[in-house]
Amino acid sequence: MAVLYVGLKASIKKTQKTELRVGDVAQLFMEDTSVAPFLDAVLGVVQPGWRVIRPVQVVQTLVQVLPEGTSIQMIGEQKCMVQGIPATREKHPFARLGAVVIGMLLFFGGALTLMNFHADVDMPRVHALISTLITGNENAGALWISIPYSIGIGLGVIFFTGFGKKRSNPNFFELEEQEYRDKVEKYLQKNEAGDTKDG
Amino acid sequence: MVEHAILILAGLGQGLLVSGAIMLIVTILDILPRFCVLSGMKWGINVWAVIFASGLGFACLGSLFGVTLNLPVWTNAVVFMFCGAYLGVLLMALAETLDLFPASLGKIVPSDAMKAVLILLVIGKITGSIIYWLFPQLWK
Repeated sequence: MAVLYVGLKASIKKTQKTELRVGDVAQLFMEDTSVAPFLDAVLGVVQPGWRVIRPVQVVQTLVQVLPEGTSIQMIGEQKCMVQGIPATREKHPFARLGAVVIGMLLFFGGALTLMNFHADVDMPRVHALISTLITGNENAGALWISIPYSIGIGLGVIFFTGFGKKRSNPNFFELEEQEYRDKVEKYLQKNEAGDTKDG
Repeated sequence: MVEHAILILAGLGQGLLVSGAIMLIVTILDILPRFCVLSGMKWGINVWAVIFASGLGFACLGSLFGVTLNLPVWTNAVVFMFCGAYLGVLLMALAETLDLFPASLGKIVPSDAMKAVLILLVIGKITGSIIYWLFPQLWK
């Protein structure tokens, strides 16, 4: 008896109002037989937002196109999350303004953070003290330490992000961003698709 | 000469450590990733990290070298509105990381009413801050 193996994908993104096919949500394998005709079987139309595709829906669609006597073996994920994305993303008129506001927030926020820290520890005095400690001269000039300190602040960020060299691995920021995006996506999947809304 | 080299090394090391610590905090608290996603731009998080780092550099110029921009006084209102907003973001991010809301209000306040709690929190923070600055004698 021929066996069709169906491996559901975890999640996919597809343009709204287009036909959702089995090939979009699953990988198929059948020994000695081409699976191309089964991949085109239509599951429905892609709706806006998230939608859950469960194995039973895929099986219901596949049994209509499979030759008689073929059994289906489900492998892979327990469900596939389908996100319907707009064909053309409308540009929000205030999108750039929002980016400017966020940029200002981060710029002045960064400045506030460091100024607060400098005020807390009395950084100019600390620099003067270190300068005196090293040179034994109270008038040695704290600039010899303050200027490299400021350069070090910039270098620290470069070490973190790894600018200027070809990186094969993501840096710390990119990993955190990805993790955050995954969290947001998971939340939206749960919130919009839910467990019962699987049609 | 050796003394100057040691001073330079000490300064560089201190700067690296301070910027590393600050960048780590804002990233772990999800402030940079959050703003990156919120902006809706496809610039990537590194751009926002550089903007934040520019702020750090700007603060160095002001607090260590006494650089002033000599801008009109009303610009303070604009700048400090952003500073206040950033502080609010920092506080909320810290509260979220520490799971303050689920831990303290989880069983008392239903999740539907959480929005109202947040609005009350914002009003409380603004009121507290205004009272703090308008009546400094109360804290002396």
